Amino acid sequence: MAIRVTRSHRSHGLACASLCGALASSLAAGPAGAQEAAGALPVFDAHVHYSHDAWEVAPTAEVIALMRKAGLRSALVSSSDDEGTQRLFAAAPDLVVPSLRPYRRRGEISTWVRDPTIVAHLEERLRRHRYAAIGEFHLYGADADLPVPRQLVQLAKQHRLILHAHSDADAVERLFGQDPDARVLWAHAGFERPERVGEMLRRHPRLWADLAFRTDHAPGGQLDPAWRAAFEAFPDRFMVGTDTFTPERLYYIPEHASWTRGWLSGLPAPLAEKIAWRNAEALIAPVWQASRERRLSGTEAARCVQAARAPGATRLEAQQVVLIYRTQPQPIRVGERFSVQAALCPRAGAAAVEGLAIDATMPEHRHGMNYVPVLRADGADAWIADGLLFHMPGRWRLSFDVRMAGRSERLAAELDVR
Amino acid sequence: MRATPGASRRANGALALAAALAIAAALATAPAANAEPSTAARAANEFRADEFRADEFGVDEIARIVSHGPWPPPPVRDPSNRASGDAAAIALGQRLFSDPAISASGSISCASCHDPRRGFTDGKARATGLAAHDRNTQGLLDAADWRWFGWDGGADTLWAATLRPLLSPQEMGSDAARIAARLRRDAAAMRVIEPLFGPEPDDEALAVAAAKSIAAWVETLRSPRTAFDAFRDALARGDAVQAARYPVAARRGLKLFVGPGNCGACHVGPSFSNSEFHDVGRPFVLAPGRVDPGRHAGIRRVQADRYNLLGRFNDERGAAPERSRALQTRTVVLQHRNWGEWRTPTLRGLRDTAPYMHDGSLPTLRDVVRHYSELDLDRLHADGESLLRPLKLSSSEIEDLVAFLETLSPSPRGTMAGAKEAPTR
Repeated sequence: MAIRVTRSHRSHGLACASLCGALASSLAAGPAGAQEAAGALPVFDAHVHYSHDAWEVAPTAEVIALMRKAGLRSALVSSSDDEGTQRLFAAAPDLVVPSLRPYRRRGEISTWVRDPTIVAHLEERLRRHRYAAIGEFHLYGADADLPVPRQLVQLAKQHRLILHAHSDADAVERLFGQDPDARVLWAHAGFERPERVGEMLRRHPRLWADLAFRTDHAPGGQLDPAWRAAFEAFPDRFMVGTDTFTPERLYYIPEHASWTRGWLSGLPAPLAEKIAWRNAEALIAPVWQASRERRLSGTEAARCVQAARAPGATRLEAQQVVLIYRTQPQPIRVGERFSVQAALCPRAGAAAVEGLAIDATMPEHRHGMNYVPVLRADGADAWIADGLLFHMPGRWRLSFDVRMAGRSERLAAELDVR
Repeated sequence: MRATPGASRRANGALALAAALAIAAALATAPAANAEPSTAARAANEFRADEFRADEFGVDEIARIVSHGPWPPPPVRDPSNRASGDAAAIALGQRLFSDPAISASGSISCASCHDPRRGFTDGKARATGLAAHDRNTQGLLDAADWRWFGWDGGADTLWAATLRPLLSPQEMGSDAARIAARLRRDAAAMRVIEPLFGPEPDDEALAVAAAKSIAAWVETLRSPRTAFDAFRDALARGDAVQAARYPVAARRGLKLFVGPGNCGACHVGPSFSNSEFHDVGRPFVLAPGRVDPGRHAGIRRVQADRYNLLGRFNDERGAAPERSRALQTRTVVLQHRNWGEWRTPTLRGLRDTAPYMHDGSLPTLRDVVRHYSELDLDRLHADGESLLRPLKLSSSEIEDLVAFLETLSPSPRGTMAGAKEAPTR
């Protein structure tokens, strides 16, 4: 009779966050580390998609195998919809770093900027999963100042995430105009000339650029002099990516990594390493680690306090988390459906909440409810369960199983129902 | 045939069309087997508006239509192939084309897949030689016009493209020794080969000679003239009577082709192909876990091919490097976008070469047009081929485009029935 919501990264993400110091150290121990041992230059592929039409063509395990074969140290993955990213992440949390696209399906590339429902989609995914970035999104010129992109920027700011922007220089300027502290990963380096890319990097210290789907920096595998100058001028700001925008391109990941190693061999080894993986890791890994270990933000803590002040709110405490709940309607009447609103507040230093299960039993009767309620998210670490019904009078035990760091902690309330 | 009301309108229309044709003809600079009419001749054949509606095509549209001719083009020779244009070698090549003795099994020849009755294709989605092939058999008509050969352009000459299937285990599975033995038993063949390729050629040289002889014949294969060619020449000539014989549906389809469809951007010139490579949003998964990389693999293959234009078997001598055919192979660059690109096929003779696309995945011309009508832009990179947009054609527009494409085949049926050739002057 329990209802349960779990976060798909539960078995890996938080465990790793607590066990691993930095993302780099966790990755070095994985299969990608074997590649490094074999001598191949590791590659952080900062531009991978695994959208809904790819799942059948390229099963998750096969995509991970392609990444391993390519010697990827890590991959920043974003998908339309986000489910593809979560599948890859669940299969290889040591390899995959999730990024959240503002697209539910392919085909929203050009419509999302004027679609207010996108914001709800982003908020819902941000409640359910952890990410290092929001993107890759397509945004050009003045569209960046439309309400939906503005809200996207604010969500990234609120969650302290990188913006992965497939944009022209104008839109990048507008993103920084909205949030000067944003970290922007400029997809494809905007398909701009190296001189223009250099100007932008000089102007914006918190701008990085991926070189996905470009060959002009190394035509025929040989470094272009102007691009070489840009790499030398901004050695910490460039990274590489495949851009798997069709299912078939997932099979290009090994080829792309090999090509990347080829042209990077024309650079001094320290600079080649930076572009191959160190720059991406320096930008993305700290954000990702912080996201996985995310504590309650000030706003969320305030919301938890606010929930506790609501009429009829009940506070339950456990070692790692505080839970505040209230029922609607209240009091609960026998034979009448009711809802439970629950807000979870992990204690300082505790791991993030991975999932919640709600159940109710009559201990004396040794049975529970006759209905399976529906649980839905209601903001960060907050849920609403609908459709509960106590069909007999007496003492009921309403229990909440909170899953954190791979373990459950139970909180319970005793209710006398008449 | 449509009539336009009003004498003055007819006169104005005729003048407008005549002016448009003069501009269009000036733009049509391709060398012609059938010489273009002179300006004076065009003026003398000014359109009669009651035969052909003057405003049916604009100046730009007429110029585009005229650019798809004249047909056939003059014969061309391949400087990389010393057998090219040699009558004896051409005859030998024709014979070898249908000779199963040069295959490993002794049971299949080039003609097994390249059936002349099917526009030199096999009617299958994917070819079958000694083993199953991943791609659709391409026709051979007008191959002399191509720059790259095969769906992926993995060969840079027609003779190298001919040698490849001879030696491929998937296709004919032969080897140089087998081909050489076959030729050495054939005194008539050796009497053709030795004067051209030198006395007592070794096995490899003989295999190359066989391929070059076959290529010399294939490059003589030309698509016949079609109803479209007659219409195109009529436009160039200012012959409204002949132009009016071109079916109305085909004219509407042609208007879409040169207008909003912008199909001629890739399907250029008299052969309706730029002989280059594009991603048009077709899937290229062969089987779960296996994709066909298309042009990306083709570039790698041509660069590694010992029979490419950079190798010792290229017969072109004395050409300045910047004018030699080998320049294309020396300068081609591998790019990420090549992954899943395919060579633009000709549109001539399509009636005989179904099914279509690199993997034969579209059974009919109607399916091909529908593909472009409902193009999935998400399959194309946001900064990739900006040309391609879903055409969103109505069902009647789809039929019109198909009607036009069918007039590029020399069919006695359908839309070709009313078309007649007019001699060009």
